[in-house]
Amino acid sequence: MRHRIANWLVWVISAVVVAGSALVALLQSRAG
Amino acid sequence: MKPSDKRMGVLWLLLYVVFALAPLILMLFGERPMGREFIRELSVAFGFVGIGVMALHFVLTARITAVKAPYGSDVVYHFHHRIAFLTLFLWLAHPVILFIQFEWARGLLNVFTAPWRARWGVFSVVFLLGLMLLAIWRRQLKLEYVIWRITHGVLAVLAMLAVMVHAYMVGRYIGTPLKQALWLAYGAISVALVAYLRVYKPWQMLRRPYRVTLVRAEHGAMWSLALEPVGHAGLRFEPGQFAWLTARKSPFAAHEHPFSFSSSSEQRGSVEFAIKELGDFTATIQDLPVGLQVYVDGPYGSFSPDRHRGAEQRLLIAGGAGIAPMMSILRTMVDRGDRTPVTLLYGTQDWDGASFGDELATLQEKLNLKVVHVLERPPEGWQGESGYVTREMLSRYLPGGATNLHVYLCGPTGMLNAVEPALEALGVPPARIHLERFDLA
Repeated sequence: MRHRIANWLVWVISAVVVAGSALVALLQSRAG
Repeated sequence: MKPSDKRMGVLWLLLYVVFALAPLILMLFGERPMGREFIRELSVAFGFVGIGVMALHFVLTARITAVKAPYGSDVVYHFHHRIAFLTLFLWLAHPVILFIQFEWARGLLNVFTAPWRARWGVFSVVFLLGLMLLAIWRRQLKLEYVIWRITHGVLAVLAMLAVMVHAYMVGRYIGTPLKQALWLAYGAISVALVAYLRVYKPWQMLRRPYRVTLVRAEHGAMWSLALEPVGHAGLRFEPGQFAWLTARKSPFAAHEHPFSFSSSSEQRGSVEFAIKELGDFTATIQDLPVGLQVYVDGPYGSFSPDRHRGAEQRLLIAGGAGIAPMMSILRTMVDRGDRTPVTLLYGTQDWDGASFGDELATLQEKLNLKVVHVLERPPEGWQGESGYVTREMLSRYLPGGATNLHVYLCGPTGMLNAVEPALEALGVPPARIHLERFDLA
C-alpha cells in the first residue's frame, strides 16, 4: 500500500508542479 | 506505524512540496523581466521548479534516518525513481518549449557556437539524460552495480552544478540577494548531502569497524555472515531491518551492498546477515576470510514487527532471499519469549533451495510457529504446498475472524506484486500488509 500511496503522491505532486508553473507563468506574463 | 512517524511523514511531505515550489514562487517577487510571452514564462517556470525537484533528489537518497523512518527506505527509493521522470520532463520541457516557439533559441543547441550560459544548460540536460538512461537500462547494459552507483552519483552532481551555473549566467529572476541566497542554499545543500553520504558517513564507519567471525554455508546458495564490532559496542537494530555492508574495500570506495540482518536484535554486539548468491558481490561472500575488517552502515528500514506493537497474529511470507529478515524476526521472538501466533509461508524453487530448514523446524518447538514450505518444483511424493503463493493458498493460512493480524512480505518483485493484492482481496487491511523490496537501486 505504501508504494501505491507513493505512486499517487508522485501524480499529485506532478500535477501541482505543472499547474503551479502554468499559474506563475500566467501571472508573470501579465505583470508589468 | 508510530503516531510520531505519521506526523513526521506528513511534515516531510509538506516540506518537500514547499522546497520544490519555492523557486517558482520566488519568480514572482523582486527584480524580474516584465511583459514576456506566457509560453516563454512557462518554459522558465518549468526550469526553475525542475531545479527545486532535482535538489530534493539529494535529500531522498542521503540515507537520513529521520526522513526515511516514516515511509521505509524502499518506498523513499520508489518515490525517488518515479519522481525522477517528473524531473526529466521539467528539464526537457524548459528548452524544448523555447526551441519550438522561438527560432533564435534553436541556435543555442550548438555547443560550439552558443554562449556559455546556454552551453551549461545543454550540459546539464545531457548529464541528466545520461543518468536516467543508465538507471533505466543498467541491467540490459550489464553495468556492474558499483560502477553504476558511482556514475549515478557523479552525473547527478555534475547535472546539478551545470544547471546552477546555467541559471546564474542567464541571470534573470535571481538578481535580488534573497533569491541568490536561496539558489546558493539549494546548490550548497545538494553538495553537502553528497559529502555527508560519501565522506562523513564513511569516516564514521572507519571509526567503527567490524570483523568477520563466521562465514557459514546454508542450504539454498545462502551464506550466513557473522560480524563482531571492533573497539565499539556495535549497533542496535529492529528485527527486519537492513544495513549497507562494505567488505574488502575502504568505506570511501562506495562498494557497499544492502543486506537484511538475520540475527536476533536482542543479541548484543555481534550481528549476522543471511546473504543469498544472486549477483556479482554476493557470489564472493564465501571467500571472505575470518578476521577480515568490514564496515556496516545501518540500521535502515521500517519493515519490522517492532513498529506494530499489539499484533495478535503474524503472517510472514518470504520468497528466496526474503527469508533473511524473517529469520531475524523469528530469532528475536525466541529471545523475547514472544508467544504471538506466527505462520511462515516460505516460497522457494525446490527443496534444495530452502534455507534454514532444520532451524525452522526447531523454531516451531520454541515458538507458536507454523512453517509452510511452498515449492515451485516439488519432489515426487511432496505432500506440502506447491506452485506459487496464491490467493487460494493464502486463504488456508489466514486466521478467521477479526484478529489484529499483521502480514510481513519480503521476496522478489513479481511475488510481492501478486501476493499483496491477493491479501487485500481476502480482507486484510492494506495498513497491516508490510512489504520489503530488495531492489533499492
